[in-house]
Amino acid sequence: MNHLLSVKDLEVSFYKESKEIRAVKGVNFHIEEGEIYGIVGESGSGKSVATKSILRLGPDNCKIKNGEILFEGDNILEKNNRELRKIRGNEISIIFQDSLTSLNPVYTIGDKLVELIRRNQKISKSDAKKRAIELLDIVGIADSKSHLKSYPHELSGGMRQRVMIAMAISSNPKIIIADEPTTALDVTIQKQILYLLKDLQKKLHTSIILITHDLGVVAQMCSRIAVMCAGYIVEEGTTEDIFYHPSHPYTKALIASVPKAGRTLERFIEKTITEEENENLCPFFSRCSYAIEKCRLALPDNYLENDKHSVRCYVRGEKLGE
Amino acid sequence: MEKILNRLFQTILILFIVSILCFTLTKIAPGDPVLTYVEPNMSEEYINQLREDLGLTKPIAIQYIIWLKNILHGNFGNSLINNRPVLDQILERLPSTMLLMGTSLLLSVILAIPIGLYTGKHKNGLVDKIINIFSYIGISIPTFWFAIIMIYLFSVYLHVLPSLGMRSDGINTFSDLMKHLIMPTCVLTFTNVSQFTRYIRSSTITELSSDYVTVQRAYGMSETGILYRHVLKNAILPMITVLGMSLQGVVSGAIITEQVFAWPGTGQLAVNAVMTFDYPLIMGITMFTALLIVIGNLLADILYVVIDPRIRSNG
Repeated sequence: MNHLLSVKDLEVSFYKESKEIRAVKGVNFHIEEGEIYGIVGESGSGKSVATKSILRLGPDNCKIKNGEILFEGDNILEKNNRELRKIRGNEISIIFQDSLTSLNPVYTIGDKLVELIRRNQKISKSDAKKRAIELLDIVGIADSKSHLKSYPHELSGGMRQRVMIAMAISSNPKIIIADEPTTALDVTIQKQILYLLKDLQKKLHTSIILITHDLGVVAQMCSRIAVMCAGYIVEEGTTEDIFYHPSHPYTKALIASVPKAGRTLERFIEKTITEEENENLCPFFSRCSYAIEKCRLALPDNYLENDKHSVRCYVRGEKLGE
Repeated sequence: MEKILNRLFQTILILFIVSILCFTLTKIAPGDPVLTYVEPNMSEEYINQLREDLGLTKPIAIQYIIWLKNILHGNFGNSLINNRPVLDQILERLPSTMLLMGTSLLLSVILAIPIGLYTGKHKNGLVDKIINIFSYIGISIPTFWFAIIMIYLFSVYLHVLPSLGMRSDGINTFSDLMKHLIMPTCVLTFTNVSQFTRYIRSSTITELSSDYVTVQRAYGMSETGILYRHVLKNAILPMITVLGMSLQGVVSGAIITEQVFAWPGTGQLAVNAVMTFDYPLIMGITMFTALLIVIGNLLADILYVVIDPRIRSNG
């Protein structure tokens, strides 16, 4: 029961001109100490919004409507700004996708690291500088001392992402949220950054929430995986369960859509349903080729395949046929 | 270094083109400068002699070259009205204009930055809406009208502030000067603040939505810290251009405001020069203003390089 972080019944909505857009529709998951938890899903599935909500980082027009986010037993959603700031960047830190826009262009790498270190630890400027150099060494930036004086635009994408990681680990956080950390990088650099993350996770014994749409990445990195679709977690389980025994048609489709040489990709055939129906049905219904009559009536509950593997589908598991 | 030299060369070229335009436009403008000297009892011969003395009979290109040569020697010629050197006249007007324009520009910047940041941060809030209305008023009402309303209110009706000039007759105190300064400064500052606030507000809104702000928030920085340490420096960057453009005003003055308040500055001098067709003075002031606009832009460019590291390495 004592998870490091548990998210319960999280519902997040965006408001645009008084119209509500539900981005996260009741999500439950938890993170154990020292594990890498992957959240996969297509664009707009709510994976990023759900995890940003952990630190209450949504934009102004975004509202957390319901739910609990328990970090070490305390509900983050009930904390005031001062308490929240103590958690942000200190206990839970975050790495974003686009490292160029994530770093303020008019300050040097050193400025940022020193500022960040000194905010969390009350140490002198020169000590903070030493620590900044140490951090850059840890994340594998060569010639770290001179790079303190570099501006973000002077570094390559991979190096900037390393700087972001240095910022993320500066206070030995318990959880690092990595929101598509490698999407903006090319393949070789992706691999380096992922190895670095995994390496650091082992050394520092932190937990990582890894958000990505790249199944190959989660397969390599994560111990458990949640698959999100249109604001719901449709399937959750260990990496083995998800990849070898996928139970939800959506997960199957995702795995099948990983391009491989000599295989043609299947296309989804969309059923037409109204927006209203869509709101209250299985999020994959309109594209699901296994859908049965029951699927048209109500959203399925979570079924347990085993104690770690749950799936939100009426037609699940073996019944799908291989 | 090469870039700076390049830029300097451009500056000189621009000034050269401006000088040609300034000269020819003044020359082809209707009105005969000699007529200002003419009195009813002068003979035709004397008038022609005068024309020749002033160098007006030479071909226009020769006239231009003589004029340019003199300017390069710091000689802007003599006024046709009082025969005093143009440069002296401009220089003696400078302090009063610099006082008025400098004060209002400084005040405008000091007021506009916090107002712009605040309204950008609390966009569509009540304060923002009120400030917005004032900004639109400030941008759209003509300065002369606003100046007249102020004079009516504070001089004619309330009798608290002097309406004209820079000093009261025979009184030479600092507080008297300040009293005279209040109204023209208010008029100019109101217009400036209205514009500057709009600039800063919109760039604050843009900057606040950028990713680095979310990152700072995610790393536990307070909202005020984000605003003052991170957004401010980025948000005031566009102001550099605006300030570079406004710099010439500090010397060339505000033509309308100075005229309405009879402020003895360069703006008023320019108006008088035009009224009396004192063409050496008109050309002198025009060249002077052009020089300052170009210098202002040059300074703005240099300042950008100093503040924005992105321009330093690839601009």
